[in-house]
Amino acid sequence: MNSERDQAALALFEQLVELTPDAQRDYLDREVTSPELREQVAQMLAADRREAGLLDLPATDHAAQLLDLHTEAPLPEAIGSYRIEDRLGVGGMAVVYRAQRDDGAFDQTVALKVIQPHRVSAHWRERFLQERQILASLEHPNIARLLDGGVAEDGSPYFVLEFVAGKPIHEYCDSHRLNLRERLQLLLAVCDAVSHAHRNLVVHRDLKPSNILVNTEGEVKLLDFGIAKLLSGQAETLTMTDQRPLTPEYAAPEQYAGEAITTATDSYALGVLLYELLLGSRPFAGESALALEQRLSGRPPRSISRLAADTSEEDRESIAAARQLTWSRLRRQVQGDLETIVQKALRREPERRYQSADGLADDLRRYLSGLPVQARRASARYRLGKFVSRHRVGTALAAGLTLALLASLGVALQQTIQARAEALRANQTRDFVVSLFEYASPDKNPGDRLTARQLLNLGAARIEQELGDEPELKSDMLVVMAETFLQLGIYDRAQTLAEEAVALRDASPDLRRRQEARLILARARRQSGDLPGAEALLNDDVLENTAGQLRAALLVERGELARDQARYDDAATAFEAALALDRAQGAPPADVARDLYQLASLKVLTGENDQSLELMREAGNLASQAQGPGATLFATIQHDLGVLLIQRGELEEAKRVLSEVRTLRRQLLGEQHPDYGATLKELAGIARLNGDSEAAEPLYLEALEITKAALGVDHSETANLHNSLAVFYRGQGANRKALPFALAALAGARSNLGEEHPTVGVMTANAADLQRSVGELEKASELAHRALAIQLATVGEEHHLTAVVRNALAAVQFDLGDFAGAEDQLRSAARVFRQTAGPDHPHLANIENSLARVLLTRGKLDDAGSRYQVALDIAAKALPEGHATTAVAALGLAHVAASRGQCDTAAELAEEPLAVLNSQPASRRDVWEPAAQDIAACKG
Amino acid sequence: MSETSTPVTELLEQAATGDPEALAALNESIYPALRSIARRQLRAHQRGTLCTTDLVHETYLRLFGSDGYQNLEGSGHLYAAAARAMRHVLVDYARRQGAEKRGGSLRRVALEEGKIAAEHLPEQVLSLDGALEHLKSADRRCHEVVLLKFFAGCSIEDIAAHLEVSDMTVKRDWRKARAYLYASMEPEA
Repeated sequence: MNSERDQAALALFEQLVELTPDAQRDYLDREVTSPELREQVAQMLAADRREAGLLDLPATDHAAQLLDLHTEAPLPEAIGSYRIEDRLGVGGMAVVYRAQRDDGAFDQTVALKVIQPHRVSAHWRERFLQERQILASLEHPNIARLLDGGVAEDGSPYFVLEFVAGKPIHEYCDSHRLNLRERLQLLLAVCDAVSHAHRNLVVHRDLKPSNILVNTEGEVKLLDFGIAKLLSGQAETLTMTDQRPLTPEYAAPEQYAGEAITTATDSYALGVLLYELLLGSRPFAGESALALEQRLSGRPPRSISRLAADTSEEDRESIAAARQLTWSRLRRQVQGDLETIVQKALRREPERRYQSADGLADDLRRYLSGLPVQARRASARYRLGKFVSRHRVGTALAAGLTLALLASLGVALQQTIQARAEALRANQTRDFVVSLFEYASPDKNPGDRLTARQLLNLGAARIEQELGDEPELKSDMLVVMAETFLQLGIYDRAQTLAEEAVALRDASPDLRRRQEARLILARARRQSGDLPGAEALLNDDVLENTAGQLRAALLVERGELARDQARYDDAATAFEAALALDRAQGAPPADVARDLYQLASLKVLTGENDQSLELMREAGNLASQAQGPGATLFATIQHDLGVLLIQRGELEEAKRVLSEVRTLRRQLLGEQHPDYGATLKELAGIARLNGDSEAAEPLYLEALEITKAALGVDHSETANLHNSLAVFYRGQGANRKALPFALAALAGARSNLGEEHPTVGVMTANAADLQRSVGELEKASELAHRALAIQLATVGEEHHLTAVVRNALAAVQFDLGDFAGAEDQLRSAARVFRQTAGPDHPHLANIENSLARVLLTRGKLDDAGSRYQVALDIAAKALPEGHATTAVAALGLAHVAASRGQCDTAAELAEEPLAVLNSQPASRRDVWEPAAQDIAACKG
Repeated sequence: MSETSTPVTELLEQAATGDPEALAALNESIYPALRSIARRQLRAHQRGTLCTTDLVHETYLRLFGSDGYQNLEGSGHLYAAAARAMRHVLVDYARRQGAEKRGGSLRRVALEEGKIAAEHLPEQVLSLDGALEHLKSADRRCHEVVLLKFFAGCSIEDIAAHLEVSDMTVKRDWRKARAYLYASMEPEA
């Protein structure tokens, strides 16, 4: 290692660490020429994502473990009625001894496991007893039997197990030179033991050769349920310690990711074991952080040819010899079904694996009996799934509708920011106001339940009546009331009351009081849209002679005004000044958090997302310490943090953060509050990006319900949700379900943004495409033409959003049989898109595909072929293997061949893309199915 | 109790430079005390409550009385000393462990969450020790942060104060250093 490279690596790491893994890879591939440096930084980035290791526990813990390990401690003579003979192993939780029963009744060697003396806390005791309970519930010839249990003299619980004198399964197989069939038979016994556990709702979670021994009789014995998990039958939340990775080579991705542990978790470990028993190596190259990264990113295990390349010839032959084969024969035997079975067991997504050990065992039996294996059936889908899991965000972005989603996300975030900044201020006064009205209602309004608004109006009237001759108190009440109205979003009332307060307090000799009232009025004016009115109150001399928290609050308000006027530099200056001031004066954490939050939100508007994230985290940390009203602020900050994390593709963390916000907001605001709905919506988005549509759908619908009820059908939030649902259903291929939501979203966008807006144009085109897909061609045509008119009027001809719209219009024209019209639109779209979005943009491949299809339909075969080739080149470069767009282009080339009468070539070319496309539930079938039919018809 | 001729502070300084005699002397003076205290604390407390600084604090008090200790604390050396002592204890144990392992006194080892498989712990510790030296030549402050955070168990805030930088800087340094070390260390198992 040299320190210059180390320095460069540290610097690069710092530069890249906040980017998404894809962006990191891109950067490294593009910018870093030295392979060693590239490798080092890649390893560092992978290491950064890893959850736990040596450095993540304090050194004292390791020291404690080493002290325990230090086997100078003498063996205890006896525990219970067992004579201790030897120490078999020591772990963090327990020690295992070899022992003899001491009463002379039986001469039996046993394994005795006793809890470590320093693990006597309730947590570890429970853990330990759970293992014992699990073992007691399992009775299977291939699971080491529980014989006895008790409590030692010093109070430590222990239990006694069948003693297994055996070898780890892989060593056993190699030393007995078992052939593949014999190895599979042994693994089937392991599967049986594991399925027995699964049927008893026990997941082992730590299957690996050292826990699977084979005794001298050749019997498999499964050991060590020390970290096994009892499934409760429902999805359960796991504690942090439960989520930690265990044995890196065998742990399933969800164990790293802290996702739910299921019986499929054991299938994964069995898959690793199967690979190892078959091929003598582990499925992922090396054991480095990179191997881990490969696994977590869903890359399939090393193929046999890859493995061969990684292994010396000598090693290969000795591996094969241990199986009584030559390497080339081993290779032939494993390739095909066995390899497919391994792949299925090792999928990144638990739901795509064998669901339990039984499923794997079934397929192995089928293989042994020469029957076709189940794993084969899903493999084309797998190739696609693999891509989807690696590029969830990318896939989503490839969908046309998402362009609109992105536009609306920006708007949503902006609105969130504007709406929320106020929430924190009025909270502390709310209690006061409520107490003011405590005696107001029952007698005067018998039987009626007052709304908050009615209550406040009543209170405002009472202030007039009862406090008329007490200007100080009256102005105090007015300020409180104005703040509360502001918080409720009733800006006009707030403004009236604040005007009155200012009028009263302007007579006050106390500058502070005058300014406080002015601040409220400025806020009310700004929020009701009177920006010049607010500005007049916040001129430079408002800050003169003002100090303390009021000064900071005024600075923040100035910042918010500047932000609303799109003077972002001024806004940043004001927020930074408030922050510096609050820090210097030791303001409460909630105040500092507010300042940080304002600054963070501003950075979103100015596109400085990295900084925003950092500030947002800092704000969240601070707000988490704040009491009372700080909780609302905390929820707000964490929500926005979650949104930022989603934008960066850090879905795991986003999910964790937003789940907490959900709980918090339910407590603070109740389930009818639009903010609660907003959090549900983000969680739905995460589920969608994770491909978990079952979780996403109800979340979306609940969010929509809440938002519609709270904010009304025309509100931009409601429109966003309609749009999200349209995107979601369309992604599912459920175009009919998507259509009404797309239309509702369009209506909402129109009423919010006006007819003439490029986002409205794109949404109109999206609606057109959905209408087309359900066969409503006239409506589709009308919408598509309207969309084009909007784009031309707003962004003009030379804009990628115009190209996107032309593409949609062409699809409608194609379906209407207007091929010449479609060709014109697509030629224009391709030209503009190439110029504005660049020649490598994946969406360009879609446009080229569409154009090629039109050309082919018009009989221009040469043109069509070259366009498909262009699409294929772009897609192959910009999109990962197995993407539909690539497949459509490849199929198109086959179609061209078929149209030329080269039927055999066509059939051959079509095979692979068809496998990919057939595995997709619904996507754009109408586009490629006719081509497939032509090819099939040609062949006859 | 305090008959030791060379002050421990000096021993620590020398040991830190790799002086083998100082190491041996340190071993003799501090190590048994550390170990007995550690053992006692491990039995008395549960997981996580044992903190290195307490441990070293107590060692110093026992070995040198409150004067020596105050000198250390006043100059901010306590943390650094704690870190060195703990590093030394860990590495030394790991070496012995490695030697024993070759003798074969350990076999199958059960695992527990968040722990390195016990059988790999010694080599991991030694591997970390080596990687730390490389880190030291590449970025001294990162190196310092690791010593203080990992070995001495100091909080981010304490480290920031000690190094006179912001909390954010310490967090960044730690993240960098952690990734660097994991990437440089021998993989587990």
